[in-house]
Amino acid sequence: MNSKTVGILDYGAGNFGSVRRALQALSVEPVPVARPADVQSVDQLIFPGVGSAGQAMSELRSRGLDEAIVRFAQSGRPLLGICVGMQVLGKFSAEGGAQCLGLLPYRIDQFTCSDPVPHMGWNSLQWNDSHPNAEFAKENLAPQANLYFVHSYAAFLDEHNSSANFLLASCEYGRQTFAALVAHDNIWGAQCHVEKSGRAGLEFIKNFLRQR
Amino acid sequence: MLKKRIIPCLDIIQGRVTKGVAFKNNVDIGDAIELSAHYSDSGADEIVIYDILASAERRPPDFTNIEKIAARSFIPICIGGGIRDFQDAARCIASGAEKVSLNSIAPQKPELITEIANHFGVQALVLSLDVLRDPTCPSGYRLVIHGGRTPTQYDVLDWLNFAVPKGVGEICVNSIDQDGKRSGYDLPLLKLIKSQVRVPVIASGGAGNVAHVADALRSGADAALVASIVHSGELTVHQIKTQLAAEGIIVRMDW
Repeated sequence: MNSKTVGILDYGAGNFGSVRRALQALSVEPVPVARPADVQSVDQLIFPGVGSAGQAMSELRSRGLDEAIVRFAQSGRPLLGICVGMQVLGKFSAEGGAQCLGLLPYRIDQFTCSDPVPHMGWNSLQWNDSHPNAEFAKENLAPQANLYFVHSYAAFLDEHNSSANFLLASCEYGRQTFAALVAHDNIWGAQCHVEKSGRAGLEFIKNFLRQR
Repeated sequence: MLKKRIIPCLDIIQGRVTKGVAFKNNVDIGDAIELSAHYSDSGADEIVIYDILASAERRPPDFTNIEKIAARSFIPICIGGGIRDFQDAARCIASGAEKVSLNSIAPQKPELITEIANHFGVQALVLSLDVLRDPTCPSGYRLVIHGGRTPTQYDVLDWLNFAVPKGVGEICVNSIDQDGKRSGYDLPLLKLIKSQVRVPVIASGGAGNVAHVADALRSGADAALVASIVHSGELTVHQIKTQLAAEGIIVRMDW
């Protein structure tokens, strides 16, 4: 379906294999991208992540991948961060007090609700239909589609993230509302594990991939 | 809103799903890869795969099989049975599992919980408990291991207070008294455990019908394992969820 080269950033993140298998299910054979020079050679880049934002940032810095991702994004090519990959696209994460990539304007904080944390399981989305990418991103997804989340930190829609023009879809847990999907032009992010969210998740990845 | 999860549990022997009692009279249910893919496509929220002979045979789980299952199932996968050290857990996750489940090994080697959680995050670590009613324990329940054959020194609550802070992301509670009886999960046990821990709790052992599943979820369980009732073809995951939804329980109905 896709003649473009799709790279998956390979920096030791635990969900690298799941993202690869999800792409293969969409008939895309991705290439692992481990060095800064390789990042510039792909047409589209998926940036997986599990664990902590602080740890992910130091892994990226030690490999020189932080600057490579920023340059890739600035070139206008499609970039998708998943889970911790999405979190570190923002400015700052309270998890480990990490300065992040700064490609999107949010900050990441810990859940403060009394419900069990991590927020773990399938949850539904509230689409932000005023977002310019909304129609494109949700094509073939059921309006009430659920996606799979596992996280203790998020970009909450609070005073820190008030200019929420990056918000593609939000989600609610423990009476806290946070960004589930984000996008600004070519830079996309998913707090949920779209690679493990059944057909809905695969449809979202497919929509990301069909960007020019 | 967060959904309550329905999780088919596949006991496997050499890549085949099986159902038996205490490793005897095992009935072949089907191919693990095919069945996992089927459940993944038909509404299961997660899949648990137990390699039921791995521990007894002192070998790790079948990693090649995990990889084949993961290539066809696009929902979270949890692997249990035979994980004895960090390397086993790491290979399960590298083969495509999101989570590993520790059972008998955990009381013998509690530091393994921390080792796995520190590297992969607590969400990757499910602590599975086999629990037997025991009036000599203050809570009324004792932790047992080896499929219920070996009692431990732990009252189940003492065990949770000790083990959960080490890096447990989720607890699977299996009542040995109820297992295989199809008369319902042990609800007092689920309520007791929910009142003690903040991590999600999965109910296991005893489901004979949808009302039993509903009772467990209403008692506070975040998820329910189902085995015989779906493997036998009596009910599909879709039918279970439709009935749960009709009873007002919030489940995922789109897939």
